[in-house]
Amino acid sequence: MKQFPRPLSKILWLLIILFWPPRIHAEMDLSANAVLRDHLWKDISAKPKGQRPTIGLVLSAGGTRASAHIGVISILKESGFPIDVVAGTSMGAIIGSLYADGKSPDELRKLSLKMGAATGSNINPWTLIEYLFAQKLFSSKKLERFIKKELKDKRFEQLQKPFACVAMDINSGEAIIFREGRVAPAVRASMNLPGIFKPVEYRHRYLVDGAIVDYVPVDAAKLLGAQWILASVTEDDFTRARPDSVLSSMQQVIDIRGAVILDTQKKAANFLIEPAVGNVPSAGGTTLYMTPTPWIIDQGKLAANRFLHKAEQSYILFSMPAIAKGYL
Amino acid sequence: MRKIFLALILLGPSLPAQASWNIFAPRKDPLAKEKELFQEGRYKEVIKDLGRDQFQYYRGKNLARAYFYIGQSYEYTDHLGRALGFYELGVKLFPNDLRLAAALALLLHRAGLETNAEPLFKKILRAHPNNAEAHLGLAEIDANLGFLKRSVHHYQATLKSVPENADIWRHYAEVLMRLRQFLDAEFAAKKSLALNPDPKTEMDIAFIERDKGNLDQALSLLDSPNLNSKYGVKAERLKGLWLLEDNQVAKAILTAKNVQRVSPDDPIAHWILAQAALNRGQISKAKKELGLIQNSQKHSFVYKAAQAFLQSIPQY
Repeated sequence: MKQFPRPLSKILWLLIILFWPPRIHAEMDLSANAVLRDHLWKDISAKPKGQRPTIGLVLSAGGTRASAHIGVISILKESGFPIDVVAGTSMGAIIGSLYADGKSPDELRKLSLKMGAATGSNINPWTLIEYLFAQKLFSSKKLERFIKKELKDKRFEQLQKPFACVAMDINSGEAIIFREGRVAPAVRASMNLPGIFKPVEYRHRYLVDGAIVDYVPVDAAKLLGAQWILASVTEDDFTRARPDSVLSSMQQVIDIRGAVILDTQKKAANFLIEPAVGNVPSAGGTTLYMTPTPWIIDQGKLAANRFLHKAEQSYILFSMPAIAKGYL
Repeated sequence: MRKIFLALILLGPSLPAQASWNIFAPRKDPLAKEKELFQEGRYKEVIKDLGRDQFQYYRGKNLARAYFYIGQSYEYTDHLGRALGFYELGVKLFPNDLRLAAALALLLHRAGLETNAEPLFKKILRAHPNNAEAHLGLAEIDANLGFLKRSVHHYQATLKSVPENADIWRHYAEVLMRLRQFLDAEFAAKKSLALNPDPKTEMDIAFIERDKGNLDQALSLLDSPNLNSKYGVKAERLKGLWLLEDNQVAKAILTAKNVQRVSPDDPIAHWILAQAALNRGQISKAKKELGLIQNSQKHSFVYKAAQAFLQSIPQY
């Protein structure tokens, strides 16, 4: 057992606490910018939906990295930032659907940390041999069961917040935006990695992961009526990545393909929060599981906390006609 | 064994008295002088005494103590870079020395290097789960980084050990405010105020009352002489904005004019006067006031808000 030297005596600790010079405790900001932001934010955020621009939260794809969205949601919720509609792709669709159903950030965190085993689907030694030697793809049915169970097989219309998710039709290359019908198969299709999982046959289409064509589904949020869009983007820094597994290579190709349209999509959003998770591989090592970790979730919190006031300012400026209407 | 014992008895009287007793006497503290100087606050002398060459004569715990004394002495004489160097080396050499770890963590925290300080505080807590200083450090770090629930937990642990520190109660109240737990925040802020009537705490309570919807009470708190003596114009312009929120337009105008007496170009005063003019249907006057928010603050939020507002007015 490790032996630590005797710590400072209790009295000395108390003296340090009592007389220690002030530390980095952020004192209340009473600058002109801060007080006006606070004043206008209180005004606009208290208005009911419809009397202010509709706020859309867009959650990007990104596999394991995308679990940072939970941290972003957590900060938005704690600060009372209103979210009216939600859209997501791939892992963003899983988190988005659960959030739109009213799951708290703590519940999302708990669910995501056990999500690793749920996303892997029917992986066992036999299916693995089939995959390797007969090129037979896995099934992502297990993910659908997971979502179905958590959402009690709800339809889009039954969720607490309007929600949309995106998949790609493998025959036409179109982005298919789901916003009605049963949620679970749509989310499954959105997260259905090509090359690993069989395309999902749903509504007469063969569907795979939407990240290839709609990495940051701003268009889906706009279809739901969002006017001001906050996008949480967990982009891959693939310039430095060294994929060492089948899944990470596949995911990297998807990310590169997604990056082609990413810049345009990022510009279409009104505000971006980009957690520093670019160096995290989309899928964990050589496994086929996507296992979020508390560290990744915390990165989302850090980024959202850092840019929260800027996001408020951006929304206030966007909403100025609605604010002015209140004064006139 | 018996022979050795007999030899010692026989040789004992022939040895010089001092030498024979040295075997049993307590060892002299090699850092006694530095310890005394340090405790007397003579930090420059500690630094001089513990010159780099001196370090080679210490071993084990004494070497760790030497690093602690010199690090602290540099820190108290505002040579933070040097203090950091000694602490870091000390912690590398003696990873289990909690005094050094705590000193390094506090210095890193003060320097705003939160993510570097955090693991050190956690290490201290693993060894001493109730260590108040480590809990306080983590509470402040978590609050700054946005981990508010964790921060609350660490503040509560700190306050169990140090229940009479007004600043800690105030900081705890501010975290609860950010979590929108206004009743708990009010309790903590009032506890802080009871321990020390600090205008910062009064300001916190004013914000809490406003967030709870008690604007009247919040406004009366802003009038407190204690608070005004510290915040002056800042409190006054806050009052103007809150009066607007409470639809007390005439009083808001008076407050804005009070601000302008002290600071004629104050952008918030112009904003208040513009909103008051709009409220009375005086659109051209409102536009004039918004236009007065100076171009020199082009990148500021106030300027951008004024411009956006100006563009929104003709729509109605």
